[in-house]
Amino acid sequence: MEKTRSLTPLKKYAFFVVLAPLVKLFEVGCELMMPFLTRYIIDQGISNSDWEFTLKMGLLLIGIAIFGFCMTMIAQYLAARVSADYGYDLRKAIYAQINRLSEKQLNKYGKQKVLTLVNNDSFSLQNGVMMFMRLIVRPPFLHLGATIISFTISWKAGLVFVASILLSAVIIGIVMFASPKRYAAIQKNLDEISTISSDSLKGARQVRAFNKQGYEQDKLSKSVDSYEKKNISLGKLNSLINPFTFLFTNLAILFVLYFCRDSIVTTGEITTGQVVSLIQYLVTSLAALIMWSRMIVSINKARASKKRADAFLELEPEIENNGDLQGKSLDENEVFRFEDVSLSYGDNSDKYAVKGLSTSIKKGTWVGIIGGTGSGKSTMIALMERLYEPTKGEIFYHGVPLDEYDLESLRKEISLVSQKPSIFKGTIRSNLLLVKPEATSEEIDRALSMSLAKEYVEKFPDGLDHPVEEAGANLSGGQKQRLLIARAILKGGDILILDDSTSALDYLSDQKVRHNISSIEGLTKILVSQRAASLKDCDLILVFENGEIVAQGKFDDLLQNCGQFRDIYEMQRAQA
Amino acid sequence: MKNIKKFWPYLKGSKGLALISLICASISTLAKLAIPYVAGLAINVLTEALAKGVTSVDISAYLIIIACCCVVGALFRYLFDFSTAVLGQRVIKNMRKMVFASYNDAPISYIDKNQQGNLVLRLVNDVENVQNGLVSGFAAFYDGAIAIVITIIFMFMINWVLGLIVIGLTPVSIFTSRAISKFNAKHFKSQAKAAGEMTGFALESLNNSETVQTLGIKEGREKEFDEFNKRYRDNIFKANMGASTINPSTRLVNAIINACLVTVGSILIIKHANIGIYFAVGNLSAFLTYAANYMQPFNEISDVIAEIDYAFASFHRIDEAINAPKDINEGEKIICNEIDDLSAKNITFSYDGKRDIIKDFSLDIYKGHRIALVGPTGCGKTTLINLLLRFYDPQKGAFYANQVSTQDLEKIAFRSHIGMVLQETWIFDGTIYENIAYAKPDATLEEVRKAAEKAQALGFIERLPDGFETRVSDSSGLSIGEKQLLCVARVMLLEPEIVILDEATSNIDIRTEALLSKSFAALMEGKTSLVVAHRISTIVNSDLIVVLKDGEIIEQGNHQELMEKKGFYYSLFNAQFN
Repeated sequence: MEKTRSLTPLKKYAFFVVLAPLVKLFEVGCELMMPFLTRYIIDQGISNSDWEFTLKMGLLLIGIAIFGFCMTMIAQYLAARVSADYGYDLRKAIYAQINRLSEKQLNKYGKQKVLTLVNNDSFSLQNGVMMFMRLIVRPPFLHLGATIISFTISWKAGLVFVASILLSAVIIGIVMFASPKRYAAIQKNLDEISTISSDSLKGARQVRAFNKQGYEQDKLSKSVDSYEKKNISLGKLNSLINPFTFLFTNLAILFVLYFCRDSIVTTGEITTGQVVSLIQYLVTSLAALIMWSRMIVSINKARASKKRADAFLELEPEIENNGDLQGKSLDENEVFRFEDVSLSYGDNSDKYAVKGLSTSIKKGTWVGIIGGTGSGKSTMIALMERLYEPTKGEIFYHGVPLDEYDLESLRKEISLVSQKPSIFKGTIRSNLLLVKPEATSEEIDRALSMSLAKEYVEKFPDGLDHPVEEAGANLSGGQKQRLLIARAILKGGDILILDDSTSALDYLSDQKVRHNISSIEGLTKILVSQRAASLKDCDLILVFENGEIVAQGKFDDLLQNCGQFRDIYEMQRAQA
Repeated sequence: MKNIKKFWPYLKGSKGLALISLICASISTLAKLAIPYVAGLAINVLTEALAKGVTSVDISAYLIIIACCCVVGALFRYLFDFSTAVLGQRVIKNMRKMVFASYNDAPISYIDKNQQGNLVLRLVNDVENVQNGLVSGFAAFYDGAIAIVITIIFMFMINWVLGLIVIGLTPVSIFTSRAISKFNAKHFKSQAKAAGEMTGFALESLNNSETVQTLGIKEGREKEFDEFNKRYRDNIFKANMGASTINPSTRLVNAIINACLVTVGSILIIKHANIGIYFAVGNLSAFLTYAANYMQPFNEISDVIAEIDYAFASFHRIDEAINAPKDINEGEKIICNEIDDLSAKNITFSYDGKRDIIKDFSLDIYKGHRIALVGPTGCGKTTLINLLLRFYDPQKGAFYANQVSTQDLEKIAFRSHIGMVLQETWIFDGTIYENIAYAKPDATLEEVRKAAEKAQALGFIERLPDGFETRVSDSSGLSIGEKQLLCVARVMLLEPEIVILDEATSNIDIRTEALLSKSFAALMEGKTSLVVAHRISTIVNSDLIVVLKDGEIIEQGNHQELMEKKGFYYSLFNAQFN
């Protein structure tokens, strides 16, 4: 399969991308015709006092204008249509890529940057395509045509014409060259203002409690002052364009008059009609020049975006589903087996997130995982879900190497409740149905009861249809955790992993939830917890420290043989 | 008009600049539009000479006038553009400072009620809109309007018949540009909305990428994204189609005016002797130049009108923010020495005026005591902290410090006795050092280091690439536990008289928490403290445990007493070890 890059979706529309500029050529022709005809009206109609000729030409002018308008609109339509469709395809590709890549890859690329791809970069790419289709032909051909015509009138006029356009182009070029750096600095400054203010609002209580309002105000003022300075410096630069292009165009008119005055009167080489048309060409050309500068700006932006988008789209998904269960016999009893598994996150291979994990998890058992923050508990869970590939060692799932197992089946069979409140904007119901769109109301009710989420969901006047905000912002910590557990129960599967997901529940509720989960038959339960007491009934407890399993066994064995475990337990005990 | 009146005060100190900007616009436009007129006169002279057969003419006077107009026009155009930029920046600079000052002065309830993102948006985007719409936009409006007026005057000076033709065609211009601009404004708005929704959805996916993968809901999410994507595509198509009609339509209208002028003008020249209206080729030339630019100001004005409308909407939000309620500091008394006793007397409080969160709450907090507040979520523990620090004031009753109602005390002075670590960690964009030394900016690195050590944060800080100079932010990848440690270090450095911990340890693992409790104990020794937590380990050593339910105290006493009572606390506690 051919690789998708940022311009790949455009291939479909190649015909239209070429057609639009061609259609546009007609408009350029029409536009060049107008001053040309005006000249004939003046030189022939007026000179010969032929008003009928004049009238006919006038009607012809209107006809040409309308024809030119229709041609342009065809091109404009094509440009708008193709660019919108292209942008759609591009965003679709980017979004699909988001879902293909692993968390690690997304973090490495930068999630904020990915988001920028979705909204800004895709926009500037499609805008670039549109501007290209609209403008690639008009300005250069308009200039070319106008230059040729002016030279046919008089070489002096032609030179003045070219000089005026070139000088204007130089000014526009200088500003365009010098401004991006300033724009970037301004944007950065604006981001800073935004950071300062959101930090300060987020910490509104701390700011007040520490009496730091004045300090915050100074901090913002400083940033705002430098923002003003940068903008004024940009303003100085940008203010150059209007006066200079105005100056060059009008000086050109001056010189045309100056050079032509003798030719008109003495030799009759140049007619007044020609002078009038020259002035018209000058005015049109300047407008086209400004258009051109706009196109260059958008194409430049699009090119920068293209680079970023390509870099993202070209990333190879780290975790690929090449699993195939055909002809493999599965071990029904053993769910997971870790054989000397290590994982290093960065490229730095001697810094391990987990190291030398070896254990075996049997079907239908309770497994407890305990250890300090950053000791590797969650990493082990992530390895089970195949969110990462081990750097060393091997993981077996039902006796099959994990990377040979069908990835989708694996993830269907595991229900994970992570520490993160992964709740999506919508309703309680929509969040539950995400994992099982066909769930019956009995199933939902059962999941809610088991997780104790029913207690609070029932209290909402709109019940299951109660709206929830992104990340469950309008729910309390305990409510979120119960909803997440309900979702995992509803999802079903053979393995349920609770990654420290009852921390916001009170002890009674925590206990009840665990009890309810025990009643699900055949379910393998993996419980990551910080409370030693919660693990009392586990068939196997893994004790983590600094990325390693320092001990494993049953509760009582560990109390006797494992210092770390005893420490944790004793500390809780002692305080009681 | 009312809008402009409201905006007027914000021009304070810049009114002179605004006037200069308008004068510059007038002069530059006048010079610019005089050129075609003078050039036309010059062409007339040439035409006449040609007709009369004169072989030498002098048009140098005209050329000099044109040259002057070029220079004056360019110079004042520059001054106009530049002064407008300066004016805009000056206005928005002051606006930003005022908005931010207003946020700083606002009561917490204002910040809590408004979405934080919304408040930031006002300060960042809305202010930017005001600059675009109300300053640059207004200047462009004036510039366009004066261009139209001067053009019409020149046209009538040259020839009233053609002048009337142009005026007669003006409604076409106005109609065209208004129609397009209305269409565009509508679609740009819906495009922006669609873009926002789509981006929001993508952000949610990004933030939950692991969940999306592990839950196996990729397809469903992709389908949903497709809906947003399609809506955005359709909107952007319409918006772009509208926008791309502007230039061709302008050219069409210009071309039609041009054609009419050429035809009628030429006929006038041919027949002028018959009807007695003077008209010559040079005049026609001038007219054509005016006609070629005639639509331009109309477009600019109608664009700007949409922008000005838009900016006024932004301006109202800004004005609202600037006029946000002020956190009234009615108290004047201060406590010079230490707070010897602290008590709550019959406090009743409700956020919405309907449901009481705290009901008739009274409590004596003795100096040096550690008070633990426990109870189920939503029982009012956090609210009490809000009331004690006077982020909110109760409807009835009050906290008393040294027998003085805290509402009679100066807020700043009162709060300086207290240090707090809240449930929500707060790390701002800055170095580790800056974050810890926030409340005590003159602290030496040594002091900061010591505080970090006591807070058990030194270990992880030293593992960071630049130690205390490492730049961190809320989203820079520190774990919740690490952030919490920094927040604790911040208070540790301050060594306040009264310490408030709101579930401060709920996100830190047991081992770290145990170490932390040790350092808390050191910090709290000899100090009064109030701890909100549902972790028994941090509560059992308290001098007084207050069990709250639905805003009321249902039990209080020390651990032993409450255990003997076998009530709510008893069952809560036992659940942990069984």
